[in-house]
Amino acid sequence: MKLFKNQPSQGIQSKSGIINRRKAILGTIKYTFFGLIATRLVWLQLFQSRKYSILSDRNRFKEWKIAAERGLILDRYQNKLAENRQLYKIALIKGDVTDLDFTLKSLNNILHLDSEIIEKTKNDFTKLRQFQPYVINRNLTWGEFSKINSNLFILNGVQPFISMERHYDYPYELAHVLGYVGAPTEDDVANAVDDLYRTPGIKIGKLGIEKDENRELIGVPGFTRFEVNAAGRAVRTVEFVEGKPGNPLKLALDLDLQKLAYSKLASHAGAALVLDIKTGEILTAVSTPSFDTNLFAFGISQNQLNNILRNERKPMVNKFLSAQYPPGSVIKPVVALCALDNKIIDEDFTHVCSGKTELYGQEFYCWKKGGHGKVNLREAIKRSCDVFFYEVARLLGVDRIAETARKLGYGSLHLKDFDEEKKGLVPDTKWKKNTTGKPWLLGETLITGIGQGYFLATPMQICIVMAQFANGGYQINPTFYLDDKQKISKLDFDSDHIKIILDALNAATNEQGGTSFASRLSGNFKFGGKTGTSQVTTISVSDREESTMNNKAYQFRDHALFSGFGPVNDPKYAITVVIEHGGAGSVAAAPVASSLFDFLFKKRLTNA
Amino acid sequence: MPEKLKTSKARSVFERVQSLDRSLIQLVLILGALSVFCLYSIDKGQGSTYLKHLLRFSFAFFILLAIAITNIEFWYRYSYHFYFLNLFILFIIKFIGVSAKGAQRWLDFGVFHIQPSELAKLSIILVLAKFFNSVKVENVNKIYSLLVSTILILIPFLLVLKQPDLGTAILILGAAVGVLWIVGINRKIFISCVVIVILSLPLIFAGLKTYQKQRVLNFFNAEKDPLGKNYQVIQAKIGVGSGGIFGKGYMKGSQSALNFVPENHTDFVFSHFAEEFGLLGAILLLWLFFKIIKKITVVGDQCHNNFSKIFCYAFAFNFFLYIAINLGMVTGLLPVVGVPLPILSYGGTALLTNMMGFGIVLSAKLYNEHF
Repeated sequence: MKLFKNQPSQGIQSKSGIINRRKAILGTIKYTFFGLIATRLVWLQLFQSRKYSILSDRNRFKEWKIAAERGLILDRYQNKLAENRQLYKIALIKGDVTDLDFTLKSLNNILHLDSEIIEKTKNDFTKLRQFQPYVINRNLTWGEFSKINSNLFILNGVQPFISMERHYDYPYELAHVLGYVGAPTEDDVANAVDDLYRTPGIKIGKLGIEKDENRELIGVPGFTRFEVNAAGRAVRTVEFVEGKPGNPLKLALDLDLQKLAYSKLASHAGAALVLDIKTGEILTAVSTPSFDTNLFAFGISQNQLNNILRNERKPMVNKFLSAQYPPGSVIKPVVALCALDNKIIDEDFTHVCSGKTELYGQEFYCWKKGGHGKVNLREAIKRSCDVFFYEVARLLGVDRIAETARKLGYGSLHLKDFDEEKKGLVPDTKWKKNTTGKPWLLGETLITGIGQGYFLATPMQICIVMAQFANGGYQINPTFYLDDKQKISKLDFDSDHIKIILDALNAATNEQGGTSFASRLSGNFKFGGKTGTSQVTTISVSDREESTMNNKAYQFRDHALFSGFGPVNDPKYAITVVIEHGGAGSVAAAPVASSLFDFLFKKRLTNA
Repeated sequence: MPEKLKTSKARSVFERVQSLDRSLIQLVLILGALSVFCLYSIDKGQGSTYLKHLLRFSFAFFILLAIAITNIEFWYRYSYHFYFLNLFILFIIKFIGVSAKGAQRWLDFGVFHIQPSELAKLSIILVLAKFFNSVKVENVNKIYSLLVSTILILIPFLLVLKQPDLGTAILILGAAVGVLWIVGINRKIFISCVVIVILSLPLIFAGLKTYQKQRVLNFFNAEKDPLGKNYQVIQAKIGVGSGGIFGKGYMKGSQSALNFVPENHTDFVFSHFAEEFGLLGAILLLWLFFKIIKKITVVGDQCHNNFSKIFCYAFAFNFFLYIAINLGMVTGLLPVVGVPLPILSYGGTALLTNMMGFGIVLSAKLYNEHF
């Protein structure tokens, strides 16, 4: 049949015919799939190549940041206050350390590590990522460093290195101004805006200028870029980029003056401040007792820290910013200015001091047994008559005193960014009502007039107020930084009244009978100022009458204060000295201020 | 069926080697060389993997030549023996096999590990080729031939699937289906099988091992969970993609050299190749593979007997399946199944199987006679 003729149903021909047809279809499948793969390759390698290149580099390169050298801190005469020194350190690299216990034991044989450090290392080590280095918190001597280097063959994963670390030549003198540096805490790292603090071995400012200007000082970390394998191990170094050291920072401080002030106060607990009255520059700021800030940079031990914290004179407290004292008699010029400006009294107003005054049956004593007799304003400031100021305060009322005090800077913060600064307290009727719920008593007004009672001020505030008197009533903002240009505005006070007060302050130091007459300076330049003795305990009659301070236990003795300005005929500086439990201001604080003025007049004004 | 096979004129070994198809041998040698260079680059010149591969390739090439100059009649005659021997080994491997990655796949011969499941790809083609060679064309779609071929396929397929080795099982099935297609099994049967497979996909999925299920799931959630189960494919794709048009240059690839790509010597070797030689290199490699497949098909076209024809076409299809599944997997088009890239991937048995296949193809050309 024809039908079968063309369609052979058996034999090789027919079979291979089928096979050939089927093969052709398979061929089509192959072409299609190869085309598909080729298209896919074009998509991946042409259109998405950039994306995958980035991903590949991200896999491949890891950066190992290296903290930059911290910026220098200089005083106004270019003296180095904070610099950096080479330190020998070691790091352990996780993943390279085969047996941590053995490694630490071997290290211990050479370094004699504290058990505290060993425990911390063991603890921290578990949290590390693979091949992350861990810097051991201990500095090595050159001897130890070379010994480690020669024993590296048994110390798997130990990496000795040289790092630049903060060093202070005058750690005690500058502790509270500069602060110190230390490793960032977990919170610091978590709260930071960027990952700068994750730089291994980085130190950040923890207090003072170091903290305030941390970002300026810290610089830009350098880095080494490694090629790493999938396990994270560095295979080779690709590039090394040196970091940018932090900017040097110029402070307004006068190192020699600072050292002098520290030496005068070192054996006490207290504070000294020197301000440039026109610019607000802080030439000196000392708080004693002090502590060794280098210890913090190098990793302080718990023992050393405890010693500092347990000291009852509180070395860590910044006494010129965060200690608050009743200002005592140094408030009197403020009360006087308030009275003059409010026209309660004038220059010629007089009052008779009989040694005490009486109010509703309660007696208020003058420090001078028997009284000062008839005194005017000038005499009252010069001789620091309490009774005169009781009377002035009574006439004024506490609210007006508080208003003037606040206008001058009491009761507010002055150094932005210094978290430790305290506000002090300027009491008034509203404040008392709000905090205690009780009404203000007139007796409280009287003792406020001599800077006792609720009134609290920091040495910084006292010094600013003195500076503002001395510059003729211009508001200044204290600053640690040189070239810190700021707007200076006239305060709303009568210039004549300020002159009256400056004259009285001059008299208090340079005229017979003045409270700080014993500390006066002879020579071309003179200073003037107000002493203050702020009571720690409530006044008792016998204390008043006997004034036998030295017999009392330390913690019950009065704080000694002095706040002054100089030179008298062309004021440039304001100085405030506070000595805790130092006794009378005239005895303890004024001589310290006097020697600082002496230095300034002889070394800075005469030579300049 | 004429049972008497004509033997070719006796020629010396040298003469026979000389008259082999040069172009196919050249292509295989080029791929072998690329493979050794590629492995050398992955290890940045260290280690001995590339040397081991060179050794294995040389050994396999020697086998290729030996098979190529042996009359293909040998394979025709011993197809069943080879098949049943293979089944036997697959059986006993259950008890003496060396376990690798949770699967019993290896038979330890000291220096050489043999993966009998790989050999099964070859034996299934041979046995089916012989079987259908002997089936008359009008009987191809009879129940008898369908039943026999199904049994022949299912035994090795299930044994390998049980190991478990999904990749190889799929390739065995693929090779077998290739033969069935070529010999002219009714299209309707294929279509109904595809329909049945699609309908029973949920059941198949339920029967998969957990890690296999995960791979399939991952394939459908491509870029999620980059450090998890999908890591392999993502890293491989990064390798391929970062190569760009011209590649990073020889010895300059990082993805495999730094071990970001897992299985970088074996299943994912293409990633490194494409990273270093770029789109141009990858397309060139595709072209080489395509040339080989084309060459095998052409040999099949020229064959005078159906056994050789079936073998060549089926082997070409099997070889194609390797490449398609492997490249599909490395470029993220297919889920990850453990299928090596022929010749390029490091690994003994797959290389050996493919070289044996080439040998038979060459032999089919050399001894192009009617059986």
